[in-house]
Amino acid sequence: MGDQNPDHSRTEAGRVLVPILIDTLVRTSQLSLVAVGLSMTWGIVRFANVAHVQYAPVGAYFALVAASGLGLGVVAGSLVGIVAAGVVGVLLHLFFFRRLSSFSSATALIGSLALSIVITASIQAIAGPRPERLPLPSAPGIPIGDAFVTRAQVYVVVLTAVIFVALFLVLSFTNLGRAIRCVAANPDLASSSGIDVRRISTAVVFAAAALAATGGVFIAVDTSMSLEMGSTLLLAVFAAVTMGGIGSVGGSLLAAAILALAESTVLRIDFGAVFGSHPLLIPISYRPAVGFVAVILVMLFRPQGLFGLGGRRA
Amino acid sequence: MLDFALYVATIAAVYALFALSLNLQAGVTGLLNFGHVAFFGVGAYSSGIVALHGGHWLLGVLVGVVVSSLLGAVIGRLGRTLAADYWAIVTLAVAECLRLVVVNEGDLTGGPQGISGIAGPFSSVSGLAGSLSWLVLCVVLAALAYLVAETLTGMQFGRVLRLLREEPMLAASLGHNITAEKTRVLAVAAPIAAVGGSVYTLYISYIGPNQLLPIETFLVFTMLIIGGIGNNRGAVFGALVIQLIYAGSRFLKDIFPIPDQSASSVRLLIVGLVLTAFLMTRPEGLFAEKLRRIDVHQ
Amino acid sequence: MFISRGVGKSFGSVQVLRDVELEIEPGEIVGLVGPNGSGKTTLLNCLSGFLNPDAGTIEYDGTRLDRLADWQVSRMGIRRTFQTASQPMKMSVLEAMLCGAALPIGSAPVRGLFRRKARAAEQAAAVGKALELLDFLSLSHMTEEPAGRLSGGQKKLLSLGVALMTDPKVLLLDEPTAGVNPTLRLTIADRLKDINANGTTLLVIEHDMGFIGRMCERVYVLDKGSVIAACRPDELKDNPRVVEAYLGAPRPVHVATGVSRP
Ligand SMILES: Nc1ncnc2c1ncn2[C@@H]1O[C@H](COP(=O)(O)OP(=O)(O)OP(=O)(O)O)[C@@H](O)[C@H]1O
Ligand SMILES: [Mg+2]
Repeated sequence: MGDQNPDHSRTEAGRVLVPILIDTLVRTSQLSLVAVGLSMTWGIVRFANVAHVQYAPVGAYFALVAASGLGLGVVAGSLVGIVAAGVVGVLLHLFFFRRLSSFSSATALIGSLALSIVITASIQAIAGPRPERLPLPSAPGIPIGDAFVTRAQVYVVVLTAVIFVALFLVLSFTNLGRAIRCVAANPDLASSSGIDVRRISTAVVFAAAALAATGGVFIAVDTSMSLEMGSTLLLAVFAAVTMGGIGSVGGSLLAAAILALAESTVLRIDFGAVFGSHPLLIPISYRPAVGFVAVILVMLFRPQGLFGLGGRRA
Repeated sequence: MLDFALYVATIAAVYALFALSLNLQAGVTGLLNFGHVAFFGVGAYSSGIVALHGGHWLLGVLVGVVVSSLLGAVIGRLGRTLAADYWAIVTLAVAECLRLVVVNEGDLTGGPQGISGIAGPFSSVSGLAGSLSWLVLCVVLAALAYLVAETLTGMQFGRVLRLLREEPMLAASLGHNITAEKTRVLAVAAPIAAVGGSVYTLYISYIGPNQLLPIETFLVFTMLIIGGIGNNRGAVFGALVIQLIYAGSRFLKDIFPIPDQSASSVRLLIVGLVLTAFLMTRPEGLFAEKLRRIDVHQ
Repeated sequence: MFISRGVGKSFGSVQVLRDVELEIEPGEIVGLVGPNGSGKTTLLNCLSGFLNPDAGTIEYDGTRLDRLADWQVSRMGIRRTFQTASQPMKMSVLEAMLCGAALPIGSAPVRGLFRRKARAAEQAAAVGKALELLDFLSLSHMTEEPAGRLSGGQKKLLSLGVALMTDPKVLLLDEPTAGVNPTLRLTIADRLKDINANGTTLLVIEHDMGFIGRMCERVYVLDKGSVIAACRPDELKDNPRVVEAYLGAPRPVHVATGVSRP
């Protein structure tokens, strides 16, 4: 093909690629933060905790209350919200899920479904059904080529990177991290080798809920928070966790990135051009289908994860 | 007031159909179908779409039965390779895909607005006679479904399902093909829910995508847990209780100052808390599953 | 005729079975012994279709079994029991017995629903057979108890009864008398002999050499996944490899003295 107008084609590519890149990075941050906690706790609690994604809206709404209700401001308010969500996660683990798991994992699974509904209904009853925003000053977007990136989006991506580096360092190089990995991989073996499994589990559950809450706050910062935040995350997050391999931090991050990329590109691909017919774009409202379809395909064909980084528990 | 009571009773009978269908899957076979609402949706939209094209309502019911049974068989077949919790998530994903299609394919399904003005069997009968006819029809259907479910659970078919719920290895060693059994129970249970969906749609003459939300599945699970999972009588009883709670919560706002917009969430909250309380304190439900006596002297 | 040729099985990097050759004639009672962890249960899993071997073939009457599913093998008339006999909690002993029967009408959801009479007749016959078997296994007083609540030894008996509901041609038994008291153990031995006399071929995994000596015409000895001896039970104690496998050192000790596991 002749390159008659290189300048034009460069801007053309930039016009498509830059928004995809921004979109993917922001979405990866949000998905991976929620997914990584589920991935870490799944090996410990041994049932698919459907309620995990609900820590995202819980964190976001707590942050809202702390930021505007208590007047702490967005940064301090978000921190309070995240810690509070972590505490909620621990309390639920100690007084709800432990008991249900002792009956059967099916009971715990149904319980987690019940809990998600209770959380959604509570938020709706207290905060009302309308989406809410964190009290952020409106800042002008930073132009990159033809696209814009908001200051909030930059913070979200950078902070997520920092969190994952920190998480990686803690898990790899500290005693606590080694204990956590050991417990996540095989709780029975860990307890027989002298690790205080209860204490470690509690710590992991706190971290997992807090990370999910961070994801929720980041979504709220980027757009807004709503009741449906948890349920819209649910299947994409489960897809990311199974794709990445249960228990694998790096796997969750990588899988979240793949899903995010898929979500932002699939909608922009002109399938008409691919098949040589009329323009045929998948409508934007089908965006959630990427997660739905991904979860079905991954669980059916690669239940052990795409990359062999983590393991599926027996 | 009488109209409202008839309405509550009719809807309770419809919900009994859903609950009996889910009980065959989750209670008897131990298959936690988080996408149970998909079967309801197939029945409901079959009726809606057939009505939209001027077809007879019976045709709609029939289409729903056939399509849901096929969908059930496919979903059951997926159980071959999936662990129990993975299967639950996958069924949820399937149901959500269905809802997404319903929302987006407006030409076929009416999109987010749904389909309204659907004509049912008693459309020409008005007033009390109409309401009574509906109630009788739904109660008869629920009674039939109960009979079918109870017979299926008690005969060798259900016995094998109960065995593979508790001891899958033992079942396999006795020559029972676990995948085939799961496929069959879903193919049989799905149409019961689909008939419920059809009848519901014809009764209120409307169907919309908001009736396919995962919350509906959750409601049916609540009925099973309250009534006693694995017990068909419990499933029917649970449907009645939940319907009464729902109806009762209407009067709640006469007593407490609850704003209109949060009434539905308060209702959900109550149901959620009831379920949570049962799970914590009495997970076997009000009517626990009992041993089945076999008549030795036949 | 049950034949395995060169059967091998590994879990990850651990080779649990290697090159196992086995031949069982119709009507035989064959023992399978070996130290703990020698691969007996794994071999039985391969023979019954619960595991597919990595190498080798398994044949029964000219049909290859090694790529069949567990339920297919069972339907060919080859039934097995498990080392830990678990039974359903929410089913009576009688119902558990019926699970072992083949009831074609009752198993078909649609046909069974409409043919009530035929279904009941079919079940009544199976109930009769179940009661007979329960009597034979001295479990008739437990008919209406939850199967999962039986004692360990009773569960072993019940598993045997369930497996017998279809008159299998071959029975593969994983430690049928482990955890059973000595008098009942003798009863089980007698029962198994009766079953065998009715034409069922038996392969029995056992640790109790006395039991093996009383029951079996031939015995295979497995050690670290290989067959190290195939002989008459009374020849075991003279076989130095068997003695070594059990005791770890080549010392002249009698192994076939009927010592049972504690
Ligand atoms: N599913 C499995 N995965 C990994 N290793 C296994 C598996 N099943 C068996 N093994 C290993 O294979 C070896 C043989 O086990 P097997 O159960 O066949 O022994 P056995 O001869 O029946 O012992 P016992 O007399 O104690 O019943 C053991 O070391 C066991 O750890
Ligand atoms: Mg063994």
